[in-house]
Amino acid sequence: MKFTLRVQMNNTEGVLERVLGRLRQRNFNICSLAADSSKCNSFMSARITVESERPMESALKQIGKLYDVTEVQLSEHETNNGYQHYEPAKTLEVCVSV
Amino acid sequence: MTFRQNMQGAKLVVKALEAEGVDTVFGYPGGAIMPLYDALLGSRLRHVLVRHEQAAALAADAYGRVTGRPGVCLATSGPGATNLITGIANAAMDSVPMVAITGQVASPLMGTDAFQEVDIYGISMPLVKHSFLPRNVDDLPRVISEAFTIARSGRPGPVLIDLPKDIALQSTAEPLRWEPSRPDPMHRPEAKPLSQARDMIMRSRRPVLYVGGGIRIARACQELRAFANATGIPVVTTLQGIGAVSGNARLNLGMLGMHGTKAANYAVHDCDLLIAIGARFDDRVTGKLAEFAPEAKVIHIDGDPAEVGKLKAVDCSITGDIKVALNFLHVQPHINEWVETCLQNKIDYAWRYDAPGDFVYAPAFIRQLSNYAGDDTIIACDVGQHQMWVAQHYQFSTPEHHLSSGGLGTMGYGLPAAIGACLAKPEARVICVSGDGSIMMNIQELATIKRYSLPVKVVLFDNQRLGMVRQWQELFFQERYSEVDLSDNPDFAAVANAFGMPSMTVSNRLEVMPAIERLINDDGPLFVHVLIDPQANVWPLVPPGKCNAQMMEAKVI
Repeated sequence: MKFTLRVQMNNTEGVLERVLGRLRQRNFNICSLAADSSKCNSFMSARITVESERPMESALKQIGKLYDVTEVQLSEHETNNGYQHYEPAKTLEVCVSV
Repeated sequence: MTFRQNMQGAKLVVKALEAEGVDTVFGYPGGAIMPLYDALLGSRLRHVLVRHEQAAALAADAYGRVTGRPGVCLATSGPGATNLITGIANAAMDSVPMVAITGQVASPLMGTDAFQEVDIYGISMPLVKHSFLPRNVDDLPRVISEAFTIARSGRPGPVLIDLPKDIALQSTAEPLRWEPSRPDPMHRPEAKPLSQARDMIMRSRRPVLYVGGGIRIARACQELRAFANATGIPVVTTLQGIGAVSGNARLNLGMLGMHGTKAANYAVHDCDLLIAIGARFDDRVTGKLAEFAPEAKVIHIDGDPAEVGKLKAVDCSITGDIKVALNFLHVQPHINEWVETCLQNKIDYAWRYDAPGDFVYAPAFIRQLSNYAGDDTIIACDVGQHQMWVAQHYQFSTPEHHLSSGGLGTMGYGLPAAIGACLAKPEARVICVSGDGSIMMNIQELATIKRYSLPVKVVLFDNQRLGMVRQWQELFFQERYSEVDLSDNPDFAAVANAFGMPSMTVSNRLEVMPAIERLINDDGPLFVHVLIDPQANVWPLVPPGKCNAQMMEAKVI
């Protein structure tokens, strides 16, 4: 199944690498990625589409555990009838860092 | 606290470590971390010089397990840093608090393939809970404080600080104020699932408590035991959960899983309610997952929400403070018949120590050691058959006294872990139980034992084989033995002597008790080399891919 995550994070050294690495390590194959940092350069947001047999909740929880991730949400996922969009993005489980 | 103006980064790190309450650090110096080693001179920190950086990380891991506070290890850049990796991974897999500090080449050289440069920040990323690469000396107090906060909060784990040499040599421009770490408290579990869990327990007729390392992490033994006694529910433990309830407790059915007891595995297979507490449904525990506790509803109590539902669907999830959860669940289900069945299985399938043959029977040795050693003994295991025999046959009264590399299965853990434990709890008797394969992976640490006059005891079970691999080749690879023969081992007793450690060899059953007496009574270090049957196997065994109820056993001759 394909689904898309929106991730908000503190823009610390290597934070995007951490998020992408965690997804790969947990068997979520990255299909597309768009990321940008805020004007003040303190924050970064990313929109990541992944494909996996693993449950979406697992991706959300694993990314939510990263110390510099401040928010992770599900914005859409593939269903039998095409894509299910969530506006505003749906937070399945908010995990507290550390 | 205040760090004065013009304080060098390295000095600031040492002061911040002292402010965190660190008393012992394990490490090995080198070029990029020399400023920190210079700052150690005259500090209150006790530095323990190991003989390989891997041992520094593994000793820090054991220190963290025993004390509950982060163990600290230091290494230089490049190979020093990469040598820490196995120990960092070990801590990550068993959720052990650790702070690892590596020297890094100076900032202007980073990314230029400088001498002893390696991207340890990147290499360690999948293993650490978090990592820091300070780019400014003024960041150092915050970084140290945050590192300790993260290592200790929630589900503990390792944190890496990669310290460039120029930052360690920089001085602060103005005085800095910073507060030492304060771990975030666990949140209280929600009321609704707690009530649901109470109802599920009351309605159950065949419940089992499946207890893991989370009890050690939460320091929740007392609450677990009160809960087990109040409800009367039988307990099975994982490798990391051993000691959470006393080894000789009536309701303790022993370890479950691949080398678990029959009583434990049958209880889980037949239960109608599985209450997982601080456990993560590891493959070595569950066997074939689809047939693990096949008839049971599942309550999962854990500090880490990401563990709930990761492998096994649950009917009730309780996340947060395990102690609070356990204290809320004191109900009395009607389970007398079930408890009697479990306890009868425990009697029917009790361990036997009357093994045929003349070889020393390792399980009997371990049980005798357990009987005589008392509660103030810490056992640091290596990895392999002897590790499983300790788990099966030694009766622990608390999980902090059983040091075993569970998740990662790190051969070579035993000796460094014994060193870490000995320094963490000097009043305890510390015995490293090892095998002839494992001990050679960190044999150089006998020099550390000698250097610090540590009264570490070593029991080496020598079957002249990589025993666990040999067992699997015998059972699952048609006795095609590949690279498991270690019959050209060194003379271990002589090796020990060469490191200044008294030794003795046990080659028959009559020599077992005198050896155990010396292990208990000798004040200093002792190396006991025990020759065992090269064909000995660990039983029972759940074959890979099979259900836990399908245990293989020794053939009766």
